[in-house]
Amino acid sequence: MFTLIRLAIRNVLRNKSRAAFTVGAIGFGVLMTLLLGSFVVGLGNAMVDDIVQGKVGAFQVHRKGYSDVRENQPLDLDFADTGANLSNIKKIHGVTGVSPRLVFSGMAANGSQSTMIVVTGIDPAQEYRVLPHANDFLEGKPVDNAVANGAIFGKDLADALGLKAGTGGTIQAASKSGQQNALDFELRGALNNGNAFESKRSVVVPLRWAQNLLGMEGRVTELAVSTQNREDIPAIAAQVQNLLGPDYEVQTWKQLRPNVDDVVNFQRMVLGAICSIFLVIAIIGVVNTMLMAVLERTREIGTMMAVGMRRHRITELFLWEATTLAVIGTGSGLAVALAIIEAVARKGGVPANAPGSAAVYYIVPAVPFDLLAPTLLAAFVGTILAGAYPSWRAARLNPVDALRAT
Amino acid sequence: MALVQLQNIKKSYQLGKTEVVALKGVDLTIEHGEFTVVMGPSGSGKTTLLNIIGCLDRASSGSYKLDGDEIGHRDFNDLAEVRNRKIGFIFQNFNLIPVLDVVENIEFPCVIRGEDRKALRERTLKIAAEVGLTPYLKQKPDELSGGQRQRVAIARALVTEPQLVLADEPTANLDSTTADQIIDLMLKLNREHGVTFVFSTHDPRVMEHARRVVRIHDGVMEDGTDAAAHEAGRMHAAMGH
Repeated sequence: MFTLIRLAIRNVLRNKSRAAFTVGAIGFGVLMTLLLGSFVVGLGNAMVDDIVQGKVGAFQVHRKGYSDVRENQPLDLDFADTGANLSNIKKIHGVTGVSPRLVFSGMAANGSQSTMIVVTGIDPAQEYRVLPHANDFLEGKPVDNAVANGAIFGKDLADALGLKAGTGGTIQAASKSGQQNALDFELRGALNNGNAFESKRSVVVPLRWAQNLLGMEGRVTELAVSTQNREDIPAIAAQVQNLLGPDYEVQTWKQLRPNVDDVVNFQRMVLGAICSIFLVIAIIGVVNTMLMAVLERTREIGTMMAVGMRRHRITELFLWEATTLAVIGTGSGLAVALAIIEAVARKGGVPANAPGSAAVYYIVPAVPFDLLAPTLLAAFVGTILAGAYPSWRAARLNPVDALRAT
Repeated sequence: MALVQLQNIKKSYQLGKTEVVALKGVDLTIEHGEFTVVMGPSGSGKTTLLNIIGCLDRASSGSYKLDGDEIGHRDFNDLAEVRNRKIGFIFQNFNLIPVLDVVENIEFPCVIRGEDRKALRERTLKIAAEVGLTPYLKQKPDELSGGQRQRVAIARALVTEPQLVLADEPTANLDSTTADQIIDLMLKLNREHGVTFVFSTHDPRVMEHARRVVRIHDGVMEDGTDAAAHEAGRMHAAMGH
């Protein structure tokens, strides 16, 4: 076998320009697949990080039935913001934070005009641990318990009401019993995260202020939970569901924002199609090279047969030649791709807009195993399979005809 | 026992819709140690005959015994084994493998059958010295002259210690001086090692040295086969050369 491998390597190198072209085709396929793939993965990671670490958390806990009516921000599906729920969830291995929230709808007014809003009351100490990227797109200051009535508005909402940081107005909302209450607020900042609904309707206030407004001291409607690793989210969510029992529902970020997961999956599907094209181009290059080699070396194949080389050894020889091309092509494509990805990642990624969003994400390219392994495997196996037909043709040559070839 | 025994060998090809009959019932016996020339005009069937003797092709009908074994109906891989073990080839165009150097080219038939490298290398160097290739062992074929390349082909044909060496127009691409040297070399190998040579050639110098000339015309062995030379071959073999 060693002799065949050595012979195969020499055969590949005998026509250096053709070998370089073929290796280049394979390498280009691998390079483009990994580069495109790493950026798509990076974009997906940025989008998911934005959701998981900036908006909803890894998963959320509500009272049973909340998800069916969440558009109405119901207050009657509430629960205590202290006690067993929080402390028990925090004890679960892998949970890094739990943020209690009180979500409700109301009206914001600036004295001359008012508009409908969706308000989230948060405990900033807990919230910003669960959502470290919550204020990435904030213009101004975040919610702070030191400023009891300090609120953050969506950018479009603040603009519509003519509010600037330091100015204020009134938020009015109905309590569980239907009684209308109103409290003054002071605008601390405006959130411009590219989400149209949040920009036009979203308001974030301190939890205590929200509870005071609604007369719901010590009560919340939602827990946002963060985890150490994204991969562990489903398992931890299931653990929490078991812990809390049937009176509560636990929904992961994928259930809360299914469109994001759909977008990520769609991106990967498109990536797969594009990469398949690259791979097909590379494979056509290999088939062409190998067929040319068989054609050019027909008499040589005849000579090998004449001196006693068996058909399967001829096949092996050409398959080793394809393998040589696969190793060099795949290896060079991998090396260049990793070098570029590493260089871009070290610089902190590249800025880009997520589809359907004005928000700018920094895409840090990444090559997870589930991208790397199929790419290398497809390029490697594809190249060898591309050599299979020419190898078979070489082995089926009739020695007399082969020796007669010019 | 004769080395080669052909009985009523027929060979026909399908060329489009036409059936071409290349051999029309050839009988031929070649003894161990003979130095035989097969001659005939182009299209007479001599290359087909050599291909069948060399197990590169199979007869359409008839019997072919090589060293007593009926091999006419064996499959491709069996015939590859026979070629590797019992037959050496010398081609008009040398047919060396360009990416291998002289030593590797000579050793190639033995390497593909997995022979022990150390013993093989000793034998290769001995044969290379015998055919005058010692100064060129690490050269590639394209760095050699035509005569040197044919010497490599001869060494490659002999390294397996075959019973039969088939040479298809071995001097056709050589100048007259080199051709004489190659003929002398093959005669010497035939004389000293008792290797059986069968040639296909038009070269009168080869025919001068042949102990036996077999003429073929239009797929049929012609009368006039040199019976005396045949007998000389028998004698030569019987003397243990």
